[in-house]
Amino acid sequence: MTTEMENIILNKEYFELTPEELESVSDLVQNAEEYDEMKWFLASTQEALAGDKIQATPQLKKKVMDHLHKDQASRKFWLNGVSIFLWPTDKEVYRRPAFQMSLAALLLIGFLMVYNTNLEVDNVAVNDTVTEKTTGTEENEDLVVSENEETSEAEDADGKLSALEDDEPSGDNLERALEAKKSEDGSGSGPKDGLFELDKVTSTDEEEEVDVPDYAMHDGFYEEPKVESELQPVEEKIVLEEEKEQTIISNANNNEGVSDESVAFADDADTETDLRTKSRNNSLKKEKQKDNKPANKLTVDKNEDAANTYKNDDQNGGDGEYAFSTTTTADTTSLNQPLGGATTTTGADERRDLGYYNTATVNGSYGVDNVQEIDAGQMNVKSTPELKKLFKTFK
Amino acid sequence: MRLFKKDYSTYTDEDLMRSFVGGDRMAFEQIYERYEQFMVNFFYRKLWNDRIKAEDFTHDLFTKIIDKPESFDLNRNFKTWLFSVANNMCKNEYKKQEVRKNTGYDVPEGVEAKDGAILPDKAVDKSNFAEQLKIELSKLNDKHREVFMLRHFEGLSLNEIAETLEINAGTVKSRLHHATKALAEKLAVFRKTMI
Repeated sequence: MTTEMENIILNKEYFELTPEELESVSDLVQNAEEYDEMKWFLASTQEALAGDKIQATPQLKKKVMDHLHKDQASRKFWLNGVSIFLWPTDKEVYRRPAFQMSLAALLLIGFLMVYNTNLEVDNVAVNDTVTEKTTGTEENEDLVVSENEETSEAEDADGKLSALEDDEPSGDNLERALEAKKSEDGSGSGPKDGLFELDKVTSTDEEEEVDVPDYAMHDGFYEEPKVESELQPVEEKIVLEEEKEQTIISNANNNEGVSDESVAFADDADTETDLRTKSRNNSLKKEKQKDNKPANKLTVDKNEDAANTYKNDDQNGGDGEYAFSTTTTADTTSLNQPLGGATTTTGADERRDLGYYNTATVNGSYGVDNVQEIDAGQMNVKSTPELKKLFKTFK
Repeated sequence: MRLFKKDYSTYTDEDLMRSFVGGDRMAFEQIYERYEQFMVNFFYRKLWNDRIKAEDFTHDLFTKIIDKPESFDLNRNFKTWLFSVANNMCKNEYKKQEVRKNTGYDVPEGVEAKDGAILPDKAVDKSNFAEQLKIELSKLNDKHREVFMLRHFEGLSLNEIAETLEINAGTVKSRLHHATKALAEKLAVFRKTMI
């Protein structure tokens, strides 16, 4: 409307206006004189302003057109813009965004790797278990749990069974052990004292020096007693001494009591026990080196002694009510004594050194029938979680 | 050959932009031909009569259209959209310079307004009308001056000015009426001497 008004004023005279046009211009002019002044002002203004206009230079058009054609060429593949942004050639390498972003990513990853190593307690415990098993295997070369490092308990049990088979290729030992285990499980109505007495074990530095773990076996069972023909010869000195001791013990038992001779002989136990301990340890080491098998010698010796003791018990009635103790000169004083009476002997430590232990009770009585079970309460073995786990596994 | 050549002069601005968005570079050249002078002079007025700056801004304006032709809404009027973009560029330049000079329609260097007093010896000089017009324009309010220049210098209609400045058309009419009447009264003395 206003546009038309200005055009009307510029193009028409006042008397040429129509009533509609006159009404439209009435806001700006009221009469013919004002109309002429306004017409002159508008014409002069346009003329003045038109003189101030400038002309664009040809360079401007050229630059815009160049940009137009350049843009058309670069728009063919938009990904080029990304590469140009990430790796501009007109900047130094360390100022290029791709380099900077990759460097920042490396720093971030490194930071996370260093400060984000959360130790999982469970995994650490498993690793400790494996390490201890390996250490135990090194100590007991004859007890190879498994060639592969297995962590699960089931796999450990299988590995130990296979280790038993490896120890005795015939497999008789394993079968016997399993049969004995079954019989014990069937006959035993309550928990095995030997297994749970581990918690009561108190070890001392002196006791830790005892080389018992090799003897205690990994499954808590003694080796099946071997016949004398299978026994390997030990140092003659020890054999002679044992025979001598057996003779003395037999004599003492035949007298149905503790003889003065045996008591007197026990006075020499301190000196003889050291010798025997060393000899037995030596024999054990030799057995290991010889056959690379579980050291049965010491066990055999014990069984042999146990057999002798049992024989002696038979002579005394053999009701199994007495503690099963091997025959040493030191123990002769406790022979035929109820369990616990052995504490009156010359040295319980010596008995440990010799590896003599009371058998664990299964039926509530002690005797030859329980000869395969270890009274863990008297073992100088620490109650470690691994050992508990081992017993539980076989249980 | 003429049968196969498009006559872009018959196209509207919106049709040309539609063709350019479709990839027709000749359409953009036609648009450029139409609005080059408008934009250069617009920036020249708005940016302190700086010719170089006016051409730079004109270049930037058209390169923006080239880079992002889809930014133009095809339902809008191209001319008003172009002026609104240019006006926003000028506003940004004002902020950048942190000195808000008189919006392009400044008094040229060497010309000083002296309280609206017209020198007697120049009052009768027709050539001085333009200078006096600029002086009187500088005394106007920015809003009134802007509307007046868009109408009389750029040649925009009321609706186009309203779209460019994003204000109501009635407001534009009011401001233009006020500016025109004020300038006409102050410059009426020239009419008596010039006629």
